Amino acid sequence: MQNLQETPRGLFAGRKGRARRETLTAYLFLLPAIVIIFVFGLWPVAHALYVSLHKWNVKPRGSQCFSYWLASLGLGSEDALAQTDCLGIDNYVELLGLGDAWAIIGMIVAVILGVVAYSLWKRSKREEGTSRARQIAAGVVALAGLVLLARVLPGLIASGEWTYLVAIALALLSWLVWKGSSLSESTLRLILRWVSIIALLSAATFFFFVDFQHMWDLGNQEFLKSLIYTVFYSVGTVPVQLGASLALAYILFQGIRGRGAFRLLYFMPYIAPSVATAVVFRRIFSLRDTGLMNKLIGLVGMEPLKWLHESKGVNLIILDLINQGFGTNLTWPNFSDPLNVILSGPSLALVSIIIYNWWVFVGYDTVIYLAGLGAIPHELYEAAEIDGAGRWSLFRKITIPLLSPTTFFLTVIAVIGTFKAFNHIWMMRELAARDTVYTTSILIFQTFRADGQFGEAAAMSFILFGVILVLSQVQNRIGEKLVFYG
Amino acid sequence: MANSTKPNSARLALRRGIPRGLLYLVLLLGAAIMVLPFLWMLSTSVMTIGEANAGRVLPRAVRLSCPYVNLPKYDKAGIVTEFAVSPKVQAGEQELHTNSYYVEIQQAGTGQWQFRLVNNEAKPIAIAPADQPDGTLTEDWQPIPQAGGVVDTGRGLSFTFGPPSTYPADAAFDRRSGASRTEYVNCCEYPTDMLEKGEADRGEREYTGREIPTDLSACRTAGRKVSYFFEEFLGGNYYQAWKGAKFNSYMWNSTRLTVITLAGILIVSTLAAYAFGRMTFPGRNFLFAVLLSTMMIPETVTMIPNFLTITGNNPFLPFINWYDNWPALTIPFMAGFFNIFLLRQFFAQIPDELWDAARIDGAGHLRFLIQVVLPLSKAPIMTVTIFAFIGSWNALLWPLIATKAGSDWWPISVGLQNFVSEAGPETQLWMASASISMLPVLILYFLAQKQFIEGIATTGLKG
Repeated sequence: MQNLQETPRGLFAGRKGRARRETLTAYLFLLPAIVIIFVFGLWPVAHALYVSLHKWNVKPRGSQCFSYWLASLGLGSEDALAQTDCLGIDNYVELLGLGDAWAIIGMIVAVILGVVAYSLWKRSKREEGTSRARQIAAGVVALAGLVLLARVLPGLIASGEWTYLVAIALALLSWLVWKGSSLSESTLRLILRWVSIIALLSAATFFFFVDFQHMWDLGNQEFLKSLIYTVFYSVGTVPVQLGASLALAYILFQGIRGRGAFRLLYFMPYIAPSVATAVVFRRIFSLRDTGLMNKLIGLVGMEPLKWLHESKGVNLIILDLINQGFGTNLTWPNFSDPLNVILSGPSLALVSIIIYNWWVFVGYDTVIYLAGLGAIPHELYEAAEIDGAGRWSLFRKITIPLLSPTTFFLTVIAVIGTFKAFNHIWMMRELAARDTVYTTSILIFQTFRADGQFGEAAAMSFILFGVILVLSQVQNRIGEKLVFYG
Repeated sequence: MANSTKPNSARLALRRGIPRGLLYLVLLLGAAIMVLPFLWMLSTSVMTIGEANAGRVLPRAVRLSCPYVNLPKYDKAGIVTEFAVSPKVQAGEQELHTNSYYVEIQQAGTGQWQFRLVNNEAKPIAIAPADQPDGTLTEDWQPIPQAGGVVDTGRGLSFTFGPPSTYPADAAFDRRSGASRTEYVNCCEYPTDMLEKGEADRGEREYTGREIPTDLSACRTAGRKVSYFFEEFLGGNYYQAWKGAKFNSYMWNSTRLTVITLAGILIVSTLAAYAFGRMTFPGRNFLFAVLLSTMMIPETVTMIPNFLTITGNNPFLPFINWYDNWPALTIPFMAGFFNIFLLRQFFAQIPDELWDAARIDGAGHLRFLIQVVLPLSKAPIMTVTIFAFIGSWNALLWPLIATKAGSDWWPISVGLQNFVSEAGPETQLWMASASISMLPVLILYFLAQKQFIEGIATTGLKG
């Protein structure tokens, strides 16, 4: 008791001192985490961006970008301009086949300004107090966007890249149309809305393909192909995985005996090291007649397939099967290249990897769905039953909407996961499948490790990062609209 | 009883409708699909190359075959009389790799045996004449035309097994009876050595193997007591995979690296999570948001700069030189913010009264963390441990980057991928090595399945 009455002295004494001391302790606690995360998690982003501006082959050399930029501003020696590794944004330009890169960057900035202006204006209508200031700000931002757009428009038109702008504009417009919908709409208006959304989206898709053709002609086709394959992989994986696991979880939830045992078994593929299970599946998808998968399809009378060794698109294989089955002689039309790559679908090798992915993640999704199902209050079902709802409408009107947060979470995790996937694809690639299983992650690793192209690989990884960021934003926006949080 | 009277929501939903049997059928089918690859892996890992290539579902209970063609010729008493040189087996125009061929004995009836020369797809390409008492490959063997097999017997190719009269009766072939196959397949005792010896005799290489006894009846007695299971399981593919791929080194490396990573993650994360969850200090929210944003960054972005950092090419940390050494394989993994996030959520829920009581007792933050918070947080710490263990055990991308070819620090994942790319297409060895590398994780899973499933169901992520 006596101690407490003494007048506090020193740096850590008194109320202020105690706070100071707490701060110091906290930062001491945080020190290891901050240091490690900064060095290996945060700093690399800046460093990778920096590397991506260079043409580092094989051995990383010291950067010359600063001296180059200084020299180009007239501040350094002339030598720096002559011998340089510094490419600026050339890596990105070459990868994506941007004809007039600065015009495109200007266009993107203008679009972002437009979106910012729109959201400011929207918010000014919702809130009272600061609305005038918001409106002025929105006007200024929109004006800046328009000026910028006017400035870059000649460049876009001259290089034939105005289609990017049209595609983005159409996509945004369809988004606005969708966002404006409300529950109390009449059927006619709803139909009109959907028709216009579909029209806008198909127009946007058309222009997007024109863009893509443009990129294909000028850019790095290997990289663009890898993006297509990644999208195939993602689209092939996620919906099936979610559908199957929802069905399994729903069945498991019906007071099934031995639920724990089922859960235990379903979860095993997810928990086992993917490096090892990929090895097992590489043999299951063997090209031998005696491989497990070939024996399985043999049971239904199919000819053996080459699975992981097959670089042919799956649509071409289906066409072959149709020809065999019905004795027809259909041939694959001759499309020009980016369209052909897209229309022939993922190679059978990639499909095999997709099937492996289902096997790994269905159990995981089932466990998460089970947790979600457990959280639905059973009073809802009872009430609906009393009102005479059938089994299907219970599932459709209660289970699905109340599970939508879980579905949303799983979709986000799965989509981002497929864009990052490396281990099992790396383990399952066969030489014969060539680059048809090279998703972007694999291609980045190859460019970096096998070819030693540090700059190009870093630029690729940044584009992938950008795609992941945009995707998660889009998913968030759609999620806001669709997900029902109780 | 109280529980059963309470209406189960979902049971109501399906009260009338699909029969329950159908539901169980779907669930069992799902379980079969999930488990089948594992069972297939285990089953294939104890097969011979021929069985694996033939795509058998189960290995034969008893195999009276030598997996190699290059065998010494020995007389019916089991004494080697001549060493076979360069057996040449042709399929059409193509000369095939000889060690893919072997003679196997098929039971043709009670007490009757048929010798067949089998190719690497387990298709018989030649059959011994019916009256032949042993497996010696002679000109009388009938090639099977549809298999395209032509057997060249002009090069001293010879197979001899013990006389059929010594084969046990049918009952003894039952695996459950514990019959030892070693007794009859003594030629398999030194298969690789014999192969090597054959090549050495032809002057293709130097012989470095064991000395092969001329009297193989000795090893016949030596192997007699070994039961089928252990010989096959430990002396077969597992042994070969383990030896052939330095798996003891990979296993030891993975264990060491995992322990270091785990210890690091636990120390770093508990301290940071405590600071974020239970202390107030300026800049807390900002710092938290900044560190949280690192969870979005894919590994492909960070791998190139991190490679530059560990090789001493980071302009601000030029003194770091961890390439191909353990710090490079452990410290970057401690940078996961997810663990901190998970623990913080739990730490923040611990009642403040506990802290007040501890403070009155004169405890500081560190003492409170160690003596109160940690014992209360066993479940989340277990979850973090499991995530970190799996993540570390399964890491492939970063170890591939941070080590050089043939490194002494290769963990099991890199070792496995290297083994698979070098072992050739020998399925049974692949499966043996895959099961070796899976085993620790699966054992842990079955021991702590509740923590695994609950931990992941509530947090939704794998480390």
